[in-house]
Amino acid sequence: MNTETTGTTDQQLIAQLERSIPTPTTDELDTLRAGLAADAEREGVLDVAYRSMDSPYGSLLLAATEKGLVRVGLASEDHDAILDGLAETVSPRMLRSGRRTDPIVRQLDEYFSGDRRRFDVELDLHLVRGFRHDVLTHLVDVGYGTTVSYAVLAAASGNPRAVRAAGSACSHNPIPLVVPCHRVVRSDGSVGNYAGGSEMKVSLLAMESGSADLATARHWRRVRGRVTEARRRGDRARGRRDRRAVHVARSHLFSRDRGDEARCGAVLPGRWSGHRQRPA
Amino acid sequence: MRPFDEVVAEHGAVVLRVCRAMLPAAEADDAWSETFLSAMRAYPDLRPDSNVRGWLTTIAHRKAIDQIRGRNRRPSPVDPLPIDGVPQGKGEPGADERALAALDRAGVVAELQGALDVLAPKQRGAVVYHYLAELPYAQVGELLGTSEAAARRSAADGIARLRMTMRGTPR
Repeated sequence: MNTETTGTTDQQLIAQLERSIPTPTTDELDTLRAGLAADAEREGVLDVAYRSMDSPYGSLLLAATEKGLVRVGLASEDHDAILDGLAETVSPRMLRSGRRTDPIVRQLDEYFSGDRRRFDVELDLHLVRGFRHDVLTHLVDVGYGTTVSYAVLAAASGNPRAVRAAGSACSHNPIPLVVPCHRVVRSDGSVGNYAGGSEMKVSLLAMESGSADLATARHWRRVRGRVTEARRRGDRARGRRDRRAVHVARSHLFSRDRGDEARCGAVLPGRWSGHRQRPA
Repeated sequence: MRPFDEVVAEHGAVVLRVCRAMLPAAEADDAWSETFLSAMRAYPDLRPDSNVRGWLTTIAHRKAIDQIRGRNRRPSPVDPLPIDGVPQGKGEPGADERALAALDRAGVVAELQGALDVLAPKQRGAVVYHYLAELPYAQVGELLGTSEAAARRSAADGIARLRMTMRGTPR
């Protein structure tokens, strides 16, 4: 094109042309994007839906697959990096949409205002493998207002000597708050680390203990004592001692909150709120 | 690979403008939705070095064709009920077919609107895809089923014609 004589005029023309086509407003695009999310969900191509929410601990990121909640990002984490990571590890077919995550937002709001003690949501733990997966599936049994030591959690997860690995599973917990890694503390009683900072952990535990059920707290103190005792007492074969510690930790974890339901598989079967009825 | 939502955020407005330049408003919205739904389905297989806007515009172009074809299949709300299976009172039964033929030939919708009304179909496509979607002429040519040089000529002719038309209208 001969830009020497027509350059400016062309630019004016392009500007006129652009004006002649209605410029999409933010509202129009938002409506279309909401419709796209609904279409994608219906067609089964929305692999990850995510949204942000405000909380007393800053902005949280919630991401859910078709199976359930797959990631909670705390304010201390880089949410863009989390989303890029999900695009790599789960699927890049991701949309910002509240349809899947709105119920979780409601429950978290209730939790922060002290009106909710259990979360009733599907979880997708398929990103976590091996022993870490075992640890997290047992961690969901640790009730509101109580704490459990890394040692007890390791025992309940099937390996009493893997205390460090249990700690590592908690620090890599992809679903903090809902999978309550803030309720895991050191055996000496100190709170230990937390992805959202130890201040947040202390604050959460204080909030929960303010309205905690004392009987439950006593129960957990008893469990801690018995597991410690079991590990100390079985002095003949290490394997036998470990098995006993596992048995003690599990029997208490199971008897109180869940009954003896199977808990294997990549995704937790059904809903896991305590004292529940299994969904049909 | 980036989350698909970022692709929608970055290119959603441009693709909607392209759809609106090629189709009436209601159909443009449908074409936009179908474009991004198709794109999302295929997104994991997209090569990392792809020109995303060009890829989206190509899909939008195909969806525009589908919209025109769909008009023939879908009875419009104002069509009278068919009596004994025969559609009644549908004026100009060949209009859509002719539009479709023009579309297939030139790769653009023959139905015109706004300032683009004055342009020939091929000029319109070349102008919209090059100036609104900002695609290089090589890609515009590919889209319209013609050469890069022909696409460049069509756009130049289109711009010249627009200039002539707009000179006569007060801004």
